[in-house]
Amino acid sequence: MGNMKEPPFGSTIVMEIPISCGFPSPAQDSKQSPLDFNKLLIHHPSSTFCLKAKDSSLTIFDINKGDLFIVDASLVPQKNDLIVVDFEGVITVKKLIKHNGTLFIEDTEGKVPMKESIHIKGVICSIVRNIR
Amino acid sequence: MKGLCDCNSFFASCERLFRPDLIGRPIVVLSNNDGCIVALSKEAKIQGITRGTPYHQVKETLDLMHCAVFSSNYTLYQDISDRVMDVLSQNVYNMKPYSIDESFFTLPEYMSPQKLRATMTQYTGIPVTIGIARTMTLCKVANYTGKHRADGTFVLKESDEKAILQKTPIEEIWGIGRKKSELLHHFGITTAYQLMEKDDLFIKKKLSITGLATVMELRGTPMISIEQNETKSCCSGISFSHPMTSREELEVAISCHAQTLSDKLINKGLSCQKIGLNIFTNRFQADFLSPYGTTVLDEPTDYTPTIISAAKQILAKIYCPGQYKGCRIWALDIQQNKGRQLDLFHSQSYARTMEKQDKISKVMDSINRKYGKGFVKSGAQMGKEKNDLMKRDYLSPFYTTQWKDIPKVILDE
Repeated sequence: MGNMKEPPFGSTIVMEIPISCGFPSPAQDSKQSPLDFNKLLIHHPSSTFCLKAKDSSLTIFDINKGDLFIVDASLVPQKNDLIVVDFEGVITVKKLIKHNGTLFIEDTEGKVPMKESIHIKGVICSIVRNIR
Repeated sequence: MKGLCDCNSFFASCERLFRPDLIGRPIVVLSNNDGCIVALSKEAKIQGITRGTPYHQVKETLDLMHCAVFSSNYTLYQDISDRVMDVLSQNVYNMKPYSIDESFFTLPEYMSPQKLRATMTQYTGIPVTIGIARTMTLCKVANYTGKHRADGTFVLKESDEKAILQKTPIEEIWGIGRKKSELLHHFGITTAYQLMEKDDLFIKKKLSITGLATVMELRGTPMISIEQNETKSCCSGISFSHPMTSREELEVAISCHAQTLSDKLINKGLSCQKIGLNIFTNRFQADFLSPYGTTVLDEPTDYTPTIISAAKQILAKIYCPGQYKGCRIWALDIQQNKGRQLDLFHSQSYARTMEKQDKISKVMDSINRKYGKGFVKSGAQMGKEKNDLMKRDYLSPFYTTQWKDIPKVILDE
């Protein structure tokens, strides 16, 4: 644009500016709705809730402070799942592990055998992390 | 077979959902304005606390029993209720919600009540009782029996009906109120079975035709049906945290409730053609005032500003000086938005206004959903926050509907 020449003095420029609707977009029929993160991350909305990590725990969980857990209560916990439990009156995150055929729940403190009184509230199916 | 799913101490169970420290502890939930006890947990019931008691009367007793006290968090209860109903509807046929914590349904043949109850409790975290029987009224009886059983379910078989109904006090029958129970006591009727044995004429005379329907249901003939979406009116109301005297003050309060009402209509996809407003002073004082007025709108609407100005119009008509304790505002003559009937003589410009109103309502609603209730509001509501109007000193977080309120977990102690 910078080196556009000025027209000579006195000359007339005729400009033809076509204004039309143009050719219809050939992609219009292929339009899809935008990516929906709810669909990606939440499979059972009525049994899913969120929790936020209040601190980091890098040793066994690789979790940062502020990570958002998406917890699905409808899933059946399997070994190596991160699970949310009511443990001694507190909601907390543990890892479900299997050792010599027995189930344990593990955290940084160590592992304890899984028992009836430990109530599993759900399985963490995704972790959302804001890295900035 | 028909079934009834009833959430156990629903409000208390919701409060407990993210507070495992409250498991086994007594809980009470207070009414709007922290006035009376509206709901309580089993543990509080056992200790002799009753529903309807003014909070200040039992405050010390509750403290002594280490009771957890909550203001009513209807945002939370409604969200959990929606989840409960959704999970239920995926597991049964023909679900018909009856209240925020109860729903009737038809049990599929392949599903056992125990399995249904286990699924409900696992998926939603809310303990429920399942009652199965031939009619809805008998389902209520089955539920009453199920509440006292360890597995929280009860199937009332036809062959067991007599034995169970002989043990069911009439006060517990669905549709028989306390007054009718007292009346029946005079005739020596104390159990459901005794009532069933009476002849139809006696029942119709003493309990009217609806009472007869109840008795027919007890005998095993389905008489009652619950139809969904039959909302005829919708109401928003509250008692104020302090008495209000000036019209300006009342206008702000009423505008807030007009907004709540309009939100309710928008969420349900309804419009109303008539607005009703009632303001009232203390019922127990000699100079009790409770003026009521209505106004008919030009067109059915769910548009907040229209509802607010209609409510203000009524206020101007009915206001007289007094110490007002509360207000109630109704949406009347309600209809579904789909196929809303426009007046034949309304011009195209009117249709355009409608479209614009629709857009504004939708935008306001979506902003409020994203950033929290009351984030954008109509100018009429300025000056006061709704929460200031209502005392909610013990409100729990909106655990499931607000980002800022989602529960936090500690990983390393």
